[in-house]
Amino acid sequence: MKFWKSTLSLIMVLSLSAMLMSACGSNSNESKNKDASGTNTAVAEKVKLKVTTWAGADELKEFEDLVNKLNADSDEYSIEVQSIPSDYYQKLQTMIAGNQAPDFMWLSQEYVPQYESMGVLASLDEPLAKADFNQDDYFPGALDVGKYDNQLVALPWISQPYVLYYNQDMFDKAGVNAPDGTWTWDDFIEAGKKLTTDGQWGALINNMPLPMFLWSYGGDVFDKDGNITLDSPESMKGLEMYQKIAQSGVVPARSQADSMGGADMFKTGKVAMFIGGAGDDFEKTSNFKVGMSLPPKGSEEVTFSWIGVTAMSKKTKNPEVAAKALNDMTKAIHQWKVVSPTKTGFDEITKIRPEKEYAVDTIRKASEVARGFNNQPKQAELDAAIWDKLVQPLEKGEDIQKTVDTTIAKFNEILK
Amino acid sequence: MRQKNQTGYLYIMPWIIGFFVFTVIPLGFAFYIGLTKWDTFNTPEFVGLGNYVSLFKDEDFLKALWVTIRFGLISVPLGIATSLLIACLVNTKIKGVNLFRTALYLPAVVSGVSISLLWKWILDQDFGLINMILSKFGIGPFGWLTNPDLVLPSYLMIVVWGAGGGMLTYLAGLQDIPSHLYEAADIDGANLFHKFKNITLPILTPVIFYNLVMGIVGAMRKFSDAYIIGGADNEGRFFMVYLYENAFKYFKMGYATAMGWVLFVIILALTLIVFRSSSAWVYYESEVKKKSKKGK
Amino acid sequence: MFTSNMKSRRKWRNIFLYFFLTLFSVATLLPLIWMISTSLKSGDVIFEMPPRFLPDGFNWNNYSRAIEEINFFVLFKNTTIITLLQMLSNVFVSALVAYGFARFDFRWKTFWFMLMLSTIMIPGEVTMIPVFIAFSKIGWVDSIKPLVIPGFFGGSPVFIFLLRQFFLSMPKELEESAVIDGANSFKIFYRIFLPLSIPALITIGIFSFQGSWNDLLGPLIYLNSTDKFTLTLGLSMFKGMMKVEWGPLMAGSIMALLPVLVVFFIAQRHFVEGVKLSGIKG
Repeated sequence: MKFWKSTLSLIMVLSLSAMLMSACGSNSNESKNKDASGTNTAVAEKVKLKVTTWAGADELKEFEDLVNKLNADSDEYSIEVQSIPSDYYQKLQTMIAGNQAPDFMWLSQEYVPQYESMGVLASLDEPLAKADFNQDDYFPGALDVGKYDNQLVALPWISQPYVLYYNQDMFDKAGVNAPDGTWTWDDFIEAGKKLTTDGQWGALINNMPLPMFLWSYGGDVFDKDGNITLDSPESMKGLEMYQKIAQSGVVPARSQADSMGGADMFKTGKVAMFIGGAGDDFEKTSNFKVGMSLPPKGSEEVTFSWIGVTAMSKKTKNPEVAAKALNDMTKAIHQWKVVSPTKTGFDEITKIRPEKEYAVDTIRKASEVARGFNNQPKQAELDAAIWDKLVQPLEKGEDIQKTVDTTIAKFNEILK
Repeated sequence: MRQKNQTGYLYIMPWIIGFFVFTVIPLGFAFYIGLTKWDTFNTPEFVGLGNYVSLFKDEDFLKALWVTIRFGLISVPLGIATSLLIACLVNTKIKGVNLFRTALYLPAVVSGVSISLLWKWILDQDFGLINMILSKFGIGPFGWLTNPDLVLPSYLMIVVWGAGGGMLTYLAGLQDIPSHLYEAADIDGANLFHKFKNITLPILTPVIFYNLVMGIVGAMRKFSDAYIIGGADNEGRFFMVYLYENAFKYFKMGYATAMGWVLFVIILALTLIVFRSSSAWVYYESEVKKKSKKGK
Repeated sequence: MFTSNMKSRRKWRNIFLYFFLTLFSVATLLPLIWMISTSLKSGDVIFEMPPRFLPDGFNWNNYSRAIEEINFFVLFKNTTIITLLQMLSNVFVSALVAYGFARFDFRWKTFWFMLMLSTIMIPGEVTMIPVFIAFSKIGWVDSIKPLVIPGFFGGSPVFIFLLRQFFLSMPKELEESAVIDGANSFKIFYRIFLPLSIPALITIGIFSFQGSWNDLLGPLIYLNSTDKFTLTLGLSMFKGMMKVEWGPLMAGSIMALLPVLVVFFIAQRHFVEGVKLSGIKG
């Protein structure tokens, strides 16, 4: 039948051209890959490893350069960087589900127990023992987030402790003494009151994780063993302080802070004090004198740290070489990213970010007392519950005991 | 002459092949996953209808369903009416109409994350554009996204703003209308409204029908902007947002898949109703008999 | 008398038209103006509160950064290949299938049609992982095959549905006279139906072009190597987890937007009031 022939041939031509095009695409790439590895054809047995990263644009290029240097120095492994420029965790999850897990993956600290409990991550204890790994070099708080289930499963490559930034000009104008590192939360409110005028606020706390206030008084949402301690007397003290600050009038309402972005409010001189990561770029981007001190304390000296880690997949073919590569790569990142989670890497800060020199001692002290969350396998769901049932009601001024009770009820529902 | 033989199969064959090669297996897999607990990494654990039972006890799910259905009920007719109106307005030969069409079509082109972020700013209570304009008239400020009652109106505003993106199908449909019909109506002294009601609307019904079905699908599956814009009291947490959270944040793929099938059944039911009703109001030129029955 | 009445009526109609269209266009142009303005701002003034609409100067730096940092032209080429292949399959294969659904009676037709529509109603998030597993089993991951080949098997259900609506609204006499002339059904399809549905074909062409051009999730899931990335993926690199580089992001977005606007502008000129079909009916 004539019609059938022509239809068929049309479809054939179309799909052939598609295949051809896509085949061309992959061919050209294969040859390119060969070119790239062509320099090391002599050592063809190098273990091939892949690391996924959310680094983008320039940051990606810097990371690739760093990895290429490692590859050139090593005759055991060759690491390939894979960029995931958007929806990082969705793609990572899909890759793992499709049995295409990368050997290494960047993770934010919250994901470590989640991935570990699902059997995705390899234990690093054994293979790292054979590598040149120095556990004591890490600040303990940073390394803790890489541990779950009594084993090390991820190495931190960045740990940005939260510090108190302040606008020296605003302090001078209001005649308030700058924070000296010994402040308590009450001192913080006191100073904030003097700095709050029409259209400008003393401080901002919306960007801070709530647990930091609990730690400040020796409490926590969960303890190390995963028991709920949100209703302990220490935790309650922290919650009281959070509500007290939120309602004191020295901080803008959350809607306002969210719409403008907390860091930008500080940058533009709308708030006098901001508690944020020690690596933030206020010194460069704001047109006033920036000061830094340790965050205020309750009964304990402690601060939160934003920690990024690299974990290793259980599916990696040669764990021993891979662990070695992971250790080398992580150490190399410590020379690149600020703030490093290791004591030896820490000193790089003045080289990489000379503008931070004035505050090196503060940042070091903060790194020593910094910690991450006691993350749980269902951390994402728990965080949603904390936001819904705890943070928002607290800011609205609802009764603390009542919000704690409903939050714990929700926790139990999630954890059952 | 409609051919009663099976020639039609030859034409739809590419799709049938594609369906069996690319779609059937994943669908079967997804059907099974809906009956399991699955973290996407380990072997699924069969739980029978457990997911479906817990869905209807899950307050967050019911809220998301309600938010989505309420949005769909209003936004679908609103979107169709606005798009149709815009299409009629730019289907004229006035000067610069090409530029107007392009400008009005922009919302469809510049979609994505940055536009959602822009809307978040426009709707902002303290610095937003809308409240800034309203304050010039001494009205407001309104908490568009912070007041739960205003979240739905905010999303409807975005629908109206983006209606230009939907004008294209109507514009194409309007080209099917022979100009002599309008000329004849002009001679009869018909006004704009009569011409619209008696000529334009009937000929456009197949396209309206298409947009109705696709509008239902689109509204029920609303995701991208809602995921970024959100809204107080979870009023902006649409069905798909909650599904996404379960699938890719909480690693509850079985539960999320069950949600997907519930959504499928709802959309399918609505579509079947629309299809059933179509013989009463959709007018296809190829079905000549109905033409004379309607007497248009 | 009659003509002057018509004239003034037309004049008022035009005034109303211009007023309404201008008002609406201002609202829809807003994001574009904001994007252009942001793309010209220097790093530190992007976030000022209240936001400033006009840039502080012309900071072309963002444009060169967008081109250099993400390999703009390579990504442009990749995106073009994927978009054109998808458009080809979407327009022609969809038209073929739609013709089958619209102009023939065959057994189980309604069943197949509803089955096809059903595939639109299942959220892609639910089938994404199963589909990915299948494609990775046959080794198609990190190539454009999963993005373009399925389209050639059946086109896109959404477009098939739309074209079916258009084909259904064409009068029966079209085929009847052609069959008398001895044309077979495929000839009728490409000699009569395709030319007569040019506005509809252009519509799905635009939809397809813009959909593929802006698609993020498909390329994100299936492409791994940076040198195979599309523009949307490249631009996402400016949206870091920690901070968003608004200047280059907007500069790149505008450059990525231009082709779509040009395609639309050229294509929409085929929608001219009442020139079509008037001859065919008589």
